[in-house]
Amino acid sequence: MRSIHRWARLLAIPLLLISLLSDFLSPSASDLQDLNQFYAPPTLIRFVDYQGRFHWRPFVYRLELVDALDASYQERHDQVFPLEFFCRGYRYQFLGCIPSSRHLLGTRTAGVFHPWGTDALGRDVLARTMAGARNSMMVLLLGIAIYFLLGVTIGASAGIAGGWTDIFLMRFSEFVLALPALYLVLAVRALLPPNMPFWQTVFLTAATLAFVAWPPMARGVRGQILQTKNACFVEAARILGASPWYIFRMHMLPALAPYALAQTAVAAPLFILGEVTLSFLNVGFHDSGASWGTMLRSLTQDPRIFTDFWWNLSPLAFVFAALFCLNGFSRQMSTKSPSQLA
Amino acid sequence: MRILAAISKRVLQLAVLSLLVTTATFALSSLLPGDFFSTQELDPTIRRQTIDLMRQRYGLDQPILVQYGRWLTRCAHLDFGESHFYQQPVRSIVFDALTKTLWIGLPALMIGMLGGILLGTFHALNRDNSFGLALDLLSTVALALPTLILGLGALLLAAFTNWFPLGSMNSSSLPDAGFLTWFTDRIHHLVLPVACLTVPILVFVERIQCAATQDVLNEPYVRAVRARGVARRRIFLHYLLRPALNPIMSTAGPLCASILSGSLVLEVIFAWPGLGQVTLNALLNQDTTLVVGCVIGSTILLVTGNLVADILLLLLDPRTRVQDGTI
Repeated sequence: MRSIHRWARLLAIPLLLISLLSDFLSPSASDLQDLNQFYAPPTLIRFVDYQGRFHWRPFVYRLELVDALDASYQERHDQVFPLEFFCRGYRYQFLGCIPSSRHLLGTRTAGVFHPWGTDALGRDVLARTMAGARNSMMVLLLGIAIYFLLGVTIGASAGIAGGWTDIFLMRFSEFVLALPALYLVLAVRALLPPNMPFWQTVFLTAATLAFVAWPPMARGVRGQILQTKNACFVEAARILGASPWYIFRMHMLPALAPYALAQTAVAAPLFILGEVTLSFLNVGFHDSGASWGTMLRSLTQDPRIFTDFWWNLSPLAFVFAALFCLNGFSRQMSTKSPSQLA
Repeated sequence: MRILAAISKRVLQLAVLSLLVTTATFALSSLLPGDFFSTQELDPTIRRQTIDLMRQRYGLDQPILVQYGRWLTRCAHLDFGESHFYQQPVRSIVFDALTKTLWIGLPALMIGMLGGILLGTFHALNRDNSFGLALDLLSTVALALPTLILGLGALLLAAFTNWFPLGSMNSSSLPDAGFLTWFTDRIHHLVLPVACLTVPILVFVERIQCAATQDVLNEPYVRAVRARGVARRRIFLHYLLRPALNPIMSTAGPLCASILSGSLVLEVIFAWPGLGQVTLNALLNQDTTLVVGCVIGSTILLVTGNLVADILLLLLDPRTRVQDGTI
């Protein structure tokens, strides 16, 4: 049983690599449309050409649309597109900071090589899936950071201040807890303009999800604070004239950090799922900014994808893998700290 | 007496929750630029005066506080206003959508709870053999399967096998046949969404029930009644199952909330015109009165679920009926 969770946690390595190196790994830009290549099947990588001759360098043939009605394609043998490692392609920022135009595998001509097919607008599915991994990861990291800060701040101020602040904050957290989370997210999200710049979307999606998710964290942190509040070492520090901020930083934070970190790990899958669901419901990432959610939405719009254009189903596998992986971590964390249920 | 107290507590909670939620919705919607008619201002075929007239009719030209006050007084008469988009009373729209959501929600809740309780107890009793291991494995995998993935997976199954329809509540080609034909057709459409909503509930309930049963198994009184030679069935029903049901009944309330969230996604996937879809569209259309109505509808559903769970808990577990040491 333990081994399942260990394997699940190991999934983090490929997922992290994919999200970090998404641009480097993808052969073409995730937002490059080609309406003559919609629903093109995965390009076959060939070693043997149509005359039966073997080549050491792998190559691809270009696909041409034969019938637009059922999106059938035929290979054209007039031109050979050799595959190259570290091939030049579109420009991007390697690891988000180094300008580069090298890609792991590709052809010199853009828009020929689609290793995992294309979607309804002729965009590369592999590139979009990997860009979706990157975007989900950004929402996840930003989201759990906000979640951590929000939960610890609210919980700690309720615990330290006590009195009416405590009562008000705890009633408020119960109020947020009592509502259906998705409705709350939608209500908050609907108040924001529908089309936002990319970074704004990342930030606001993360913030909205954190706003809905904080109550368990805050309540737990409050409990931890109440435990250390009257401890001898805190009292001693107070008598020695330490400021409340100093006491919180030096005596309370270290005591509650293990709990807060475990709780963050437990909540992490919710952020991936939340981002995907929001994008799926058309209130998260816009269609041009790739997300697993927007890709999955296209499944409900064209049922032919299920039967004929199966390569568009790849985000399903990725969402499952990401959630499985994060559940592994959250399981590990929650079994480590029994105070999790406090 | 305790049941009456529970009911009054929940009714009070319903009132407070609805008031807070509607206030919040109104306050937040006033922050949003524009209103329902803003998009129509862009339409050159609609005259400016018409839009102004419409705004006047719905009271949207008034300040938000006046709008809220008017709305509250009407609410006291159980009139929740009229939807701008559908031009129908909000009450009938929400009631209609609510019943459609219950078509999915209620069967899923029933099957999920019953199945989860049975499986969880079975799991706890077979902790060490291969059944327990298989259940462990299944629940771990199922936990990573949210309704979104399940729903799309089910749609994939339906598209490939043609065993089930791809969505909507009834076949459009349904002849004007009798109730039985209509009903079987409805059940046929229900299978997939209900199944997808059931799985997360089932896993959730199974986990809690398994842990609770294990806790009870370790209690000394179980060993005591076993030593006294009480019949196995009686031990199981009276000393094991009944106390072990407490945690699941206490967590059933939040479960109702997660069902509402889950059914929203499923309604979108399976084109089921329930409360979730209506809410989503109302939000995107800035149809404020309908949004508020939907919020009240979901709150009613939520609080009713909590109330039923409270009453069941009171009936099942005599410990909860103790008040100041007397029963």
